[in-house]
Amino acid sequence: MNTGLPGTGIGGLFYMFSVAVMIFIEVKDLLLRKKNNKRKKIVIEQSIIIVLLISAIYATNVFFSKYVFKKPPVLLAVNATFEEKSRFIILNYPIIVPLLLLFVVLIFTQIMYFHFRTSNK
Amino acid sequence: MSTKVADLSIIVPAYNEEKSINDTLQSINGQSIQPKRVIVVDDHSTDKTAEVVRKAGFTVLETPNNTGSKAGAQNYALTKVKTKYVMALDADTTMDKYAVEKLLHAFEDKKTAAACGFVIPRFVNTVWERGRYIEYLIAFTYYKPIQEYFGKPLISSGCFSMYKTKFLKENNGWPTRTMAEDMDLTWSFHKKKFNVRFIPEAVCYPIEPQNFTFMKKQLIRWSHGFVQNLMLHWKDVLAVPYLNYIIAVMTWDSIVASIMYLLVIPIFSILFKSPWLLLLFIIDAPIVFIPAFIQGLKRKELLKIVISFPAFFVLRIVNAVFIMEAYWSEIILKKRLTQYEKGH
Repeated sequence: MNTGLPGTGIGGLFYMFSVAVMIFIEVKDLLLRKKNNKRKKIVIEQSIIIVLLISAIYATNVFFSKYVFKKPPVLLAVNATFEEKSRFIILNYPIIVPLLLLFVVLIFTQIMYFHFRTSNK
Repeated sequence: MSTKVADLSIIVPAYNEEKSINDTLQSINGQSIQPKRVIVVDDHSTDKTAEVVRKAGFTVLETPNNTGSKAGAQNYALTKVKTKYVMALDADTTMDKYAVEKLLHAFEDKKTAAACGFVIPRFVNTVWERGRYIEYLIAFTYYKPIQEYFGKPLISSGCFSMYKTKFLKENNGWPTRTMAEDMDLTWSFHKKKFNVRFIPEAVCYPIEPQNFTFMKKQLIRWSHGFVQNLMLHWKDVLAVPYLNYIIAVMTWDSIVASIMYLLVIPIFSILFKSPWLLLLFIIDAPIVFIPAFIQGLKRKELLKIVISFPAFFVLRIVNAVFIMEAYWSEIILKKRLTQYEKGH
């Protein structure tokens, strides 16, 4: 996800969530008529990127299910073949797997943050 | 017409840069705001670097011995700096005409310790340069502006950054204890609650590794530098909100992605005779393409981006190899990389 480092996509998702937080901050400040020093240009540009990213994820999913696998993804059913399960993973890999991992990583980091803050006191 | 002069020194560390340093010096001369002083540090080059610099009309500061790292050469020059601001510029990097002026604006806030800009490879011809070109476009279009919004740019790039001299000297200059002095310094500034800024309008153009030999040297240095900084700073950065998330996510991604790309995907696709799984190597292509595409539109470089795009996936696999090697050597084998080997 960073220059010189490989990524699986949880980095990309993390930044997508960050943009959602940015939009929330801007809307909140607008409603409260609070001037902030944050840069609105960044928020607008990043929001456009996020809309396009979500569209790209959706388009990838549609493309693979309609034109590559030619049938809807089979859920991870007990009797599904490995190939069918692989298709499911491929189709949902950019969303479900990284999303779950991202929450695990963020929660773990937050726990560690509180742990060290408490032990430092 | 008089040119404005800023209370700034530019340090250009150089080791065997006779071919590229002249362009760097000319780009300093072409700045809309001139520095008070330019210090070219020749770190015992074996080529004609010093001669080229003198011919270009600049003075050369020669180190008594080879300092062994870029940070060492920069620190040697830092002792001579008397200006309020200091900038580090690699000897193979040129700047946009307004780069210095734009970076200086970041220091209007007194708590700003460092500022960096947008990095674009100067030459984009080989597969390695093309891969790096896409990596930079993604990082500087997507990740870095978000980090800037939250006030936590991950790295103030070593090839092109400006610092408040006082804060830099308080930090004893550029750290030499890791292979990634820029990351080490940036994280130290965050820990001390100083501001680090990313100014996308300030653009620089370094020469990136053109072949695998140089790319390998650079990736070894970067990967080991990242792991060394993790081991050194992990407790401190955990205490810095948002930066802790960035680093945790990046660490996870680098480990899991490497295992996925190098082991899980190939082994599973062979084991279960399922070639579909190989699609996982490129499944995120449309997502990765978006930020590069947007920057391509801005810079009118769409064709270059389309041609360069496949190289990104090659470089990603190579990155995975080197980061795994770095984790293995530094953490498991406890073999620290201490020899700084110049990539480009």
